[in-house]
Amino acid sequence: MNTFLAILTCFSYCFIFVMYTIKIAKYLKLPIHLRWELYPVMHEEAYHYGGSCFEKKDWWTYPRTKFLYRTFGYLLKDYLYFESYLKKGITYWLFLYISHIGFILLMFLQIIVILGAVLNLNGISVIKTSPYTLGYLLYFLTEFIGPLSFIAGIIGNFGLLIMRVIKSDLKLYTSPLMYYGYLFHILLYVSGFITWHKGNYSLIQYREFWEGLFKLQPIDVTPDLAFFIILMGLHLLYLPFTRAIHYITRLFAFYLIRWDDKPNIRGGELEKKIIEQLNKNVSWSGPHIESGKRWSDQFTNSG
Amino acid sequence: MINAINTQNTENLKWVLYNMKIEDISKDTEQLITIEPDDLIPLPYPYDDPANEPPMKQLTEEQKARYEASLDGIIAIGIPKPSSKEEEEGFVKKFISGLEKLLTPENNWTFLQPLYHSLEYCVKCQICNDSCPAYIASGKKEIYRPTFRAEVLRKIINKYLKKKNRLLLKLTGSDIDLNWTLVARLGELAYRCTICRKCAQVCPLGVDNGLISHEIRKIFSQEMGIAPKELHELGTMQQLKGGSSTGITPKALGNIIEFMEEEIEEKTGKKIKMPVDKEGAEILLIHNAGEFISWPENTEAFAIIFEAAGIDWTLSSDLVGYDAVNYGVWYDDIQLARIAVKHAEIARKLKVKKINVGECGHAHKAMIVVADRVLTGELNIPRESALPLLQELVCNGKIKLDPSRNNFPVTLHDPCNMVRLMGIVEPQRRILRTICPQFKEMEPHGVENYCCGGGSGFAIMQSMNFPDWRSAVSGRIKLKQILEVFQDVISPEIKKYVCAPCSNCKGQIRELFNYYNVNEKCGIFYGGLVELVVNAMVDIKKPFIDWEWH
Repeated sequence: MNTFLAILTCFSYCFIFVMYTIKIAKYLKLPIHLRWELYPVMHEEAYHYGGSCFEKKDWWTYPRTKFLYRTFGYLLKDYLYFESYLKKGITYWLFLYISHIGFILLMFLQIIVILGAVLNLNGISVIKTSPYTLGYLLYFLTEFIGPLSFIAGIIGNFGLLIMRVIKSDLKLYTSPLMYYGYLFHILLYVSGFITWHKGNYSLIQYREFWEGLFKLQPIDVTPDLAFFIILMGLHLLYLPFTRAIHYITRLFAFYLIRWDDKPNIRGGELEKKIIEQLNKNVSWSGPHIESGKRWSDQFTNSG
Repeated sequence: MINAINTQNTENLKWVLYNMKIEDISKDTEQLITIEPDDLIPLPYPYDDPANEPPMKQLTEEQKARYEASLDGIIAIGIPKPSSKEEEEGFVKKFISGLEKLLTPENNWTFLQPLYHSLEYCVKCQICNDSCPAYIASGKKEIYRPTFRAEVLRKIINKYLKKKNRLLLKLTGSDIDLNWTLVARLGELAYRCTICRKCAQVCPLGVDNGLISHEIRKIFSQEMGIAPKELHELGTMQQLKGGSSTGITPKALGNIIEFMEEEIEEKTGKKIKMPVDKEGAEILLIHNAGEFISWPENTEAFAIIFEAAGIDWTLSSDLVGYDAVNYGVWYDDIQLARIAVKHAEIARKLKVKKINVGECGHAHKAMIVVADRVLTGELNIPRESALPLLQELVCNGKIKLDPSRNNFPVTLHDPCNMVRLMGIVEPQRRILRTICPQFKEMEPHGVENYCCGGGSGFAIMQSMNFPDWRSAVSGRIKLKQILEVFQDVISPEIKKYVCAPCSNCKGQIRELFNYYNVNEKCGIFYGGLVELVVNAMVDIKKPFIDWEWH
């Protein structure tokens, strides 16, 4: 069992890392696209009413000033309190917010547990009576973050599950896999809560489990913790098949699509990329298209 | 479940809708939904009694027998019904082949990244729903929900391209039957979205359901050779071959220009010679050619203002060069690129310093923004909107104006292409605030505006009963906004003006006002921005705006 838990944990972490890298690479490898921005574009000077550089006569003669800090601020604000979801109503927003808090804290919990294991291995004990401030702080942080994550995860996912069942507009678009996702998350958080509640308040044994992994000497764990570790591993294996990566792809959507207003300058890098695309062959077979010829060849023809 | 209902009984249909599944789009039923006057969102006074709602034209039995009309009883494209099993299968195969191409970088580098994002990362929170004018106005008909067509497309991709196994299909809810009915309905459904992209603007994750409609249209046009006649055959094809989607030839343009010069003299006493094909001019001004036919006062007003301000400008009489429209932006990337390249070539030939786009929203977006990544080398000529220049002339006192001449209620319609999709928000407002003392905003406005209902080609599409749907459904929210902003002066004796600096929006507002008889009942007129500017010019004796309903 010890070996199984160790292999599952290692494999799941490697798996999610590889899968997310592939997904991100696939997204970023997609070719340059035509401009398709939507205003307000947050890095624009007149962002507050959705204005753009096109409001100026001879707009190309002005230096392009991008207020990037504002884009970070906008996204951070939305990451922190999900303002845009308020449009769906306070109840939906509340459960969504709580469930995301649960998820973020669960990820944070993994980080501080692993960090605690590393510290322990380096002689900085992470215990209640630790002489090291960092060890002491990490102990109490884990004790605090753990239950907060588990309770938030249970409430949030349960609330969303109920809303998906009772609200017709959500229900129609919810697949069995999405229901499964909510149920799985609830189970995961419940198992975490049980582990925490059964005398493992700072998830000491979970930290020891990670120490064992680092030392390549898997340790025995209690059945409740073993169950939590299995679910956590399955969770990481499952995530790449969900839309959970939207934490990252959302950034791409904003920076690479919605706010992508980079003008094409003669002789510039962007122009080179465009020419590369225009040299590709088209295989569309509409009657007005010269199938098999390059994009640029299509322009000399009137269809 | 929907199979059991093959009658036109409204109550039964409502029951079906309540229980409708997305997969029902492929079920062989007479009609998926019906639109009843009671379902539509109410309008303000004097249209507050649903009993007075004009009846929407019903299709004849012959039309129903010939064309696909089983989505909502409306025909926008007019897809002929198949005459044989082979034809039916060929149609479906062609669609799948187009869908495959749509997902390849060679064939769809133009939009693959945004499409990929929208297909992969929608969490179905439905936040976008309430921003869709057609969905809201229809009384929330399921098929018009912005996420509906995207979800249908995802299911097809999962089952027929990714070929997921049966268990996965069940788990992901992707078990949909691909048949002629589904494909034909989906084609029609792509033309129930104006691609105003208000839904995309509110999506927290950057998903763009308007783009999904755009991409479905591309499969139909670029692979299957199917598009609304007004956009393709009479639109881009006619423009590329004959010079303009209006049918105006270079010779006819000469006559129209002569007529306009005479009319300017008659109206204002000014003798103006409109410059045509003037080499080396600073500005090549390109209008939507629809203006020459339907609203010549708009192009005349531009000439009056430019001459008064001493601008060095020219029109082009070259094929395509006198028509700024680029319908390709709505349904076909190849056509979009062909027209954009033609516009740029003409500007290069004339050796002008820049292109200015007149009052046409989609031409702004197509020529200045979207085509920016098609035009390379010498074709990449500076292109801009005419509005900032007009703002400079009006607000910096380069022409003498008397705002009291425009002392009547005025509101502004924001063309989506110019505003939400390009960020040109303030120039037109600064002009109106300067020259119209009674200017009042409708709500919401600016980048949060509602589409006029004629976006993405709807304004020019005249197929069978589609114009009625366009007025009663897609244009309804705009009409509501206009009536609301003028509610305190709604009496027909008080003349009011909706300023719409876009030809397509004007076309839609004209049809909308005709459908509901708004001009007669409420005294609301519509027109462009430059007409108001000329109307306020002090050296013009007679009012330029004649308030006559055309």
